[in-house]
Amino acid sequence: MSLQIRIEVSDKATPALHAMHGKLTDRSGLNAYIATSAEAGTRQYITRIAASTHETAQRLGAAPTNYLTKRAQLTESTHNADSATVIVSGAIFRRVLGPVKVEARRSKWLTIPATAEAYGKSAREFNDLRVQFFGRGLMGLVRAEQSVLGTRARRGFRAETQYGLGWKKSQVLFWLKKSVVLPQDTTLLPDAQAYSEMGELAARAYLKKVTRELGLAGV
Amino acid sequence: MQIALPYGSTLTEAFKLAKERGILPTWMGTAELRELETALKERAVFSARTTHADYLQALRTAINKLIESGYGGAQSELRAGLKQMLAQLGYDPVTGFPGDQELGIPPAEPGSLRDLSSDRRINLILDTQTQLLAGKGQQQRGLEPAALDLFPCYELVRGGMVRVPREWLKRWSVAADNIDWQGVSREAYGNLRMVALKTSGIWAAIGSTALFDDALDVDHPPFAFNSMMVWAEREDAWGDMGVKSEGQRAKSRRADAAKLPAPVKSVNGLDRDFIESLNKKIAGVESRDGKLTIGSTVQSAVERALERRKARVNALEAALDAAVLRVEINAFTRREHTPKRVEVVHQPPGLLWQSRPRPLR
Repeated sequence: MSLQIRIEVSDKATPALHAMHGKLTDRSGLNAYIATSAEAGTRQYITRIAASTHETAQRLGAAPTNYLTKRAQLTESTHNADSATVIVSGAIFRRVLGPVKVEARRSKWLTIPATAEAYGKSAREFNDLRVQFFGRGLMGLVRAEQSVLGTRARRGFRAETQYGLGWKKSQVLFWLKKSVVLPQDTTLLPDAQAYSEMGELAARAYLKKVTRELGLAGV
Repeated sequence: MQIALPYGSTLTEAFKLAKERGILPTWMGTAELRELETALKERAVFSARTTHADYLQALRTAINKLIESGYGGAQSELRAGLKQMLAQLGYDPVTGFPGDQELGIPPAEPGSLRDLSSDRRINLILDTQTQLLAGKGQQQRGLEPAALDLFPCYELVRGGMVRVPREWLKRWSVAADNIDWQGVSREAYGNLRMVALKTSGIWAAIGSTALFDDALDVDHPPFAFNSMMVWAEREDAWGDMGVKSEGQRAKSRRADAAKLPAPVKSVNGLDRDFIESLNKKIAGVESRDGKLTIGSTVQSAVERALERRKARVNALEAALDAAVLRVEINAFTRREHTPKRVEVVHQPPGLLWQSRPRPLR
């Protein structure tokens, strides 16, 4: 799934860009420069924020997955006579457009990592997990030897009698949720101001190239 | 400048590259695989010591999904699916796939890098293949004329965290010495930064197994296994590479590829049905005297690339209206246009990407 950022020049563009844009009959060359500049700027921006965006990993004490960095390296661009387009791939960038509701599709529940051991892994990779009910609608996946199903303990049954185990504090590896809502995050991509500067840089470079080719350097 | 944000295409260049790959399962070890021609490796997903074509197909599908990263592209889910498939195919770290023992493949310690079902092995394959495709795509686009003019250099920077970082500055020095520092910025190195022209030979040197055992024999990121080193486009900020005065001509790597001898792979020792599978999956393959070649594939790719470049050059020349442009350039340099304010669609939390506009000469 890719997000396309189409860059179009309006009447309020920066000086060089406005001068170039209005006078070219074929803007393919100019758009090639804009696309290149925007692609490089977008890639560098995402790489830079990736270095400081490890909230979940840091909270759990887990090793980062470098997900954003990998996404940054897949940034591409295209151009034609009408526009320049930057393409970023990755479901995470949908958050730029607005809040994203994530729901379980192939199963009934989403599994949210709760420990460093579970971070970056799927529940399917563990073969000893069982469901644990915590009341108030909370459910999680714990190791099988720690699982206490149902409410027999509250009826007076002692855990060590019923299951031969001492009562242990369960460590949840995954929380189970029907859905989660990820808030909008416009900082995942450069803003309009940044793209304007990228376009201006591109237009100036293209203008220099044209003057150089026409032998007008120094005019 | 207004920025529209439509949500659309799922295909990227890296994704297309991944789809064009064939499958090259092999019973050869890593050292033997390195002897294969680079062109063949670029067109195949290979996993050392993996012999089962079905699993390689699943690997290729997983890599495609990872690049696309839509629903189902989560690496953890793909890894779990691959482990499940290995179990279904009867893979065991000690005995391998059914029939592997007859090929003389030694057993692997469970959980080690040689264990195909281990997290380390699967993550290494998925990450390395994805990064190779992304790096190759960035390299190809970076050699386009517009990209060369805007950003003639690359800087090698760390893109992500790793458990044990390599000493890249030392590697850089070794690689630069190997090519006599041609196209490499000494001034940047003095500032502890690694900057070189896009066409410098240092990129091949720093990714060469002739200098570094853990390299991938590529001239683009990630250069080495489990490396999070990436390219950042750079202008000639240090001025010691003569880029501004001489410019850097777009080097047609595709044209250079045409001068390489056609890569040849011996199929001796492979089963007949496996050879037939390779013939079908690798486009343009010729099979003669027990050998496969992909020379025709390389040649046709070079020709297509040259045709596209010629068309772009012709379009640029036709589009420039020299008379109108000359008048407007004069008017612009007399500063008859007043600067316009930029339309801001989003309120920036902070200016995060700085450009350095240069005054017109």
